[in-house]
Amino acid sequence: MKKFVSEKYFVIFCADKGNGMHETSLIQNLFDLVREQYPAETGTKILSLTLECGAFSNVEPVLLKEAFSIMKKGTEFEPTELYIEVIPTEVRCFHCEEMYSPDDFPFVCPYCGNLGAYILRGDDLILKHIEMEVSEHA
Amino acid sequence: MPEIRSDQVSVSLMKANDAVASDVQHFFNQHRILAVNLLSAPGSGKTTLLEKLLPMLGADHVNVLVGDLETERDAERIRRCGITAFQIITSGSCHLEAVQIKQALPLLRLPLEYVFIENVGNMVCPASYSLGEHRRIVMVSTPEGDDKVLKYPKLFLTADALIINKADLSPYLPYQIERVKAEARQIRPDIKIFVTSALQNQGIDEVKEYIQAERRKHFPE
Repeated sequence: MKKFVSEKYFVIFCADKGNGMHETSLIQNLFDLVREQYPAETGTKILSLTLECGAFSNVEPVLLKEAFSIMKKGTEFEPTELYIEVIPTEVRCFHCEEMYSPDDFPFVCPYCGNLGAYILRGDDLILKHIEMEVSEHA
Repeated sequence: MPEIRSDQVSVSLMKANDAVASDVQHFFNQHRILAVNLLSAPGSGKTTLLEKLLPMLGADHVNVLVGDLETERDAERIRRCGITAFQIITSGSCHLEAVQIKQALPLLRLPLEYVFIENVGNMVCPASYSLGEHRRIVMVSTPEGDDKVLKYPKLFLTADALIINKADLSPYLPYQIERVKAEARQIRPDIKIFVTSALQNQGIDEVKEYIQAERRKHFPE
């Protein structure tokens, strides 16, 4: 990880954020998260990880799966299956505060007909479920 | 006999950035600095706008953080206007994240009234990453075509203000400013819209007044 701050030249280098491709950076986040929450123990195998992907997360499930299958090679995640569930979007109308599930932009409220809403659910990528095999030696 | 252990987790892979962004915003609040994140496609005129706008806010009261994959070109341009600028070289990452802003905070020449963050030129990924800013400004320019709002909805949904730049070229282009304004308001009804030509010094006063008013609102005397 190259991280160098040069006050003289006022330049900050950050070379630790994956290849810059969105999905590889997210898979790295996934690995870091699992390693942190479930520190590796002898005999433990991670069987599966299930992610919940929102339609407005700017994440493409197919690309995420590809990135995972490439990046898991040679790591403890090599035997792990990745499942991705796409969840419906829930928003709250700016005007009448009712909740609804739009398919696409623009967000048109079916209750008051006005445009514009806050996204409550559907703009995120969430690790939902982890399945592990723990051997009796752990 | 191996035992299967199954856990419900529910941790965001994208919102981790939000926690860091919150720390960054806390720093800005403590020091009464209005932080502005400026986003656009490459070449819309972000740096030119900053060259014109920031001296109007007072060169000593502003620092700039510029994100680019490579080169210090934009930071150098801003420094030539007498403003302290720090270049964040991402070496491949297509967007700035809060952790990079957090690293730069100790370098800021306090006291300051404003910090402007010129994001990496990109209409996609930067929209998903809060940098701890108080206000987010999206810039489009007339040569890009007037169909961009509905093509990049997340960017405009998260924008507090929209600047339509290079208005001086609109007589030569089929660009319909009113269409862009209408579509932006569809996505984000309360968005503030400014029409400018940074190069020709047009419309910058209104942007300056907006920024100053937002700071007064956020940090009342």
